Amino acid sequence: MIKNPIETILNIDNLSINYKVGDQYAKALNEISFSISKGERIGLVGESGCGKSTLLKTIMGVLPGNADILSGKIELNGKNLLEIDSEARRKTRWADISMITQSALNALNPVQRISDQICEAIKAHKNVTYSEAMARVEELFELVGVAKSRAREYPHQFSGGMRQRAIIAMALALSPQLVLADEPTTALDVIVQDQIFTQLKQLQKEMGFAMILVTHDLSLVVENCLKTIVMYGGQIVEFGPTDDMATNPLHPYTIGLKNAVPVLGSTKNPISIPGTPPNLMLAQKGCLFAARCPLATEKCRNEIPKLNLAADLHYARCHHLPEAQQFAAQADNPEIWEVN
Amino acid sequence: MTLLINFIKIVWQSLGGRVSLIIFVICILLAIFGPYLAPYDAQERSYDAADKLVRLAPPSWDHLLGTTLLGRDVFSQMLWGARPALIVGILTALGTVIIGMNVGLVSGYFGGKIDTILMRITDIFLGLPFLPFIIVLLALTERNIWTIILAMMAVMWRSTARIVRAEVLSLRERQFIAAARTTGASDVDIIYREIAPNVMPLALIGVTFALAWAIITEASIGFLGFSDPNVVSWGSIIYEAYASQMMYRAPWWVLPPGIAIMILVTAVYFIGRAYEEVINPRLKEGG
Amino acid sequence: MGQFIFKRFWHMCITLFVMTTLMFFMFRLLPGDPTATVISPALYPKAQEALRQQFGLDKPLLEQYFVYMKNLAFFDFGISFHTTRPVSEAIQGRLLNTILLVLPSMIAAYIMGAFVGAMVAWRRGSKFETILVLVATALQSAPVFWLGMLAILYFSIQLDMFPVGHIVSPGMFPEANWDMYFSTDFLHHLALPFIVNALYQFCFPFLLMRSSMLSTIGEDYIELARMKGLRENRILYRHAMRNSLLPLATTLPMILGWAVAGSVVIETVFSWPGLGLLMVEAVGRADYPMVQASFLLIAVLTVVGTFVADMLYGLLDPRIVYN
Ligand SMILES: Nc1ncnc2c1ncn2[C@@H]1O[C@H](COP(=O)(O)OP(=O)(O)O)[C@@H](O)[C@H]1O
Ligand SMILES: [Mg+2]
Repeated sequence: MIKNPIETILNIDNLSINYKVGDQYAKALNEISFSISKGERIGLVGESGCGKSTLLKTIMGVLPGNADILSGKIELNGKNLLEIDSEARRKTRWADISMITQSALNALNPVQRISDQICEAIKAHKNVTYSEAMARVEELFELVGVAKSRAREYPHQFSGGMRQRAIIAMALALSPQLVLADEPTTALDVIVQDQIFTQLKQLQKEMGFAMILVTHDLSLVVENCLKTIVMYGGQIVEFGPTDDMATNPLHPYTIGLKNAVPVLGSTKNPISIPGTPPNLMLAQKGCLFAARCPLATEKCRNEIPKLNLAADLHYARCHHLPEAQQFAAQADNPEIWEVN
Repeated sequence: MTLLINFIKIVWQSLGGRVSLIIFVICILLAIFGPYLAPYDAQERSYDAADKLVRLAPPSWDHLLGTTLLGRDVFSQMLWGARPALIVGILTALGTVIIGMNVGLVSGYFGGKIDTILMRITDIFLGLPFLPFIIVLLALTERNIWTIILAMMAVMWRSTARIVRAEVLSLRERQFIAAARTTGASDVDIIYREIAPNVMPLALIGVTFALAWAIITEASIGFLGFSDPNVVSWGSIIYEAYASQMMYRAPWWVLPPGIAIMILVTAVYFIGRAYEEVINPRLKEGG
Repeated sequence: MGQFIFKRFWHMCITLFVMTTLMFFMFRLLPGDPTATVISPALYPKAQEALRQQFGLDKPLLEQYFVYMKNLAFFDFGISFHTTRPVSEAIQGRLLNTILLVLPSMIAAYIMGAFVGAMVAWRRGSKFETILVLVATALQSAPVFWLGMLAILYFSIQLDMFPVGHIVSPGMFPEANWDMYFSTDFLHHLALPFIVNALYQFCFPFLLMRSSMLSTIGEDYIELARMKGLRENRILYRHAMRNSLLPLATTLPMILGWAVAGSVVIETVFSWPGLGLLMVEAVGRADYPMVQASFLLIAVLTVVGTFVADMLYGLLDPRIVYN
């Protein structure tokens, strides 16, 4: 549906995932479709628990044992990753798609030298000697701005920011076409966060990889990405050019998210959307956001909305698209969010 | 008390825990009522119609588990022997944990010099070879059930102390402790009212492991022949069988006490593990 | 690293010092007559008097203590009540016998336990796993001397595969010497206690490794290793197993202590002439100098073992050494 066949590198179509919890199922991903082109940066936002990490893990092919892929395709350069054998799948990991993980502290093996952790990724895919791999590690360290003399240290000897840089170096080791970044800087303070993003963008320009940046912080996406995907309860609820979405958000959830971001120099307090994310164990009857949505009507509660094209390249999953603009204008009034 | 009820509730949740609790309760009932149920006295010798000692008789209706070299009824001895195993086990476990918990609480709460000294002492105790040390103590003092309990307590507190201290160190920095401090609560109050309840779950796990250890050690002491010669315990039954050199002709004599110890201690381990899995979810399988 | 070793070594020395001191005071103060544990009451009064002089037992306690420590430094443990020969003679060889019984079975048990525990956890949820956990817990709960007796009952007496006990066949080696330890007869005698001890020691590392693996498998770095496209075997050995070994290594000193302490019962069952058996026999004969000496050697073995195990842990976990 949303596809640009010319230089698309990754195309995800109708992907649905269940987690088995006890004898129940949680629908963590619900008919996800989107694609990403060469060198593109896409932001993926949504509250925690909406399925962002699950989506990235599915792309990487490292879902936990209790996850079930119900339907869908994940095509990398036209080849469906869900159909190839496990050895071929292993080879695409990191070489074609790599990942900058959420928690750099826990993602690094505490008892292995950082250089070795990067080397083993290189050697798993390329037939190189240890010293060749080591040379690459030093090159990468310089690239991400960490003294290469420190490559042979252990993770606990690094500061938080350095660890994150090491993870980035690791992700870039094999010059992948696509880098997935799962909340890469949530654990860091704002200044370091900024430095790392600047560097990441710089590297992205030089090396030309595409990137999916996952975050629950809308402002990061606005600064860094050209396109944005908004997820809610395992579904894509809005998708479009970031500029357009920032000025003219369409889904009430996106409008709410935007409200929750503090605006520099503004006296208005950010307000977060009251209520809790939907229970994914229950069968979906209508719009998942209906319970928290000020615009919700009977129709919303009973009829599942489709992802509709609303403006140029801008899609939203809502029954009330025409009212969006008017609603956005009054959304900074906390009272309007008091549903029920 | 609520803690104990809570403990039982948690253990009861899992199948293994449930079975183990039932086994444990049966053993306690045996320890209490066993001697009244026993058809013979523990030391009583049986004679047959011709007035001959019933030596090494295989199991029969008269002697459910056969007899020993001296014509004693193994089944009755088993029933008598539950009591020392459990008394020694339970008292030692409680004493051990009480000492260990206090050392851990004081050491972790005050920190600094007190901590260093207490932990050095704990380390030294950790270096003591457990069973040999108890044997030395028993060699130098009178051998009865109380010295055995005291000797075991004297060594076993060390591991609980370490575990509790580590927990206290992390609790000490928490909000509610700081809050208690600002309200001017005394150290003793903070330690026993604020911190102690929070380390109780750990202490309970400590009780189960100490219990398992104490039961096995009591049996080992019995087997080595250093227990109270007037008390029949499961360990001393094995000792007599071994010392008689006849056990190889009378498996009914050696098998029951070992099996009883094995079942009891397995149950205790599973109780501890069932509780631990809930308290410390990281251990939970697949978690 | 150097500092770490030095600190541990220093702690070890303190521990040993405190233990020997503790032993001195226990043996002099616990029984009614402080000399009762040093001089055999069976000796002639004249001989008793001579010994009293030699050990300075008529001097104040503190002075006796210094004499005791000096004697220890020269491996002089006094005179055995039972043989009336120096204790150090009887002790010779016993230490080695105990080490030969405990150490190999310990090492075998740890390697097997770690490996089987890891495998079982890696492919978790099998029937085999449930059964093995149950069996290991039950084995661990059984008294090891009883297991030894059953093993003798079945393998030695029923099947006649192994000798019933002792370190070599009687009369084979009238003088204990190095040839003895290299004889097949020795290995034949070692086999059964080795198997029983190894099987018993296997349970703890197995159970610990399994639960340690189960929690390691959920760690982020395992997921990252998988994302890096490493081969399954490398993830298993280099990451999951390697890191799960840490708790095993932490408990190694404790387990080593248990194993050495447990040698007392194993040696008794198999009549294995080690320190444990020596000590048990000495207690039975109220041979106090012998009790004291064998205990001290067992303690030294434990403490040194702990020290070595600590060093091993330092090698495995860089966070310890560098912090
Ligand atoms: N291994 C799992 N088993 C069961 N449920 C899971 C598992 N991992 C995640 N979930 C559930 O799936 C949903 C999506 O989780 P996740 O992808 O981690 O969200 P996000 O990264 O957006 O915070 C959440 O409701 C979470 O509770
Ligand atoms: Mg996440």
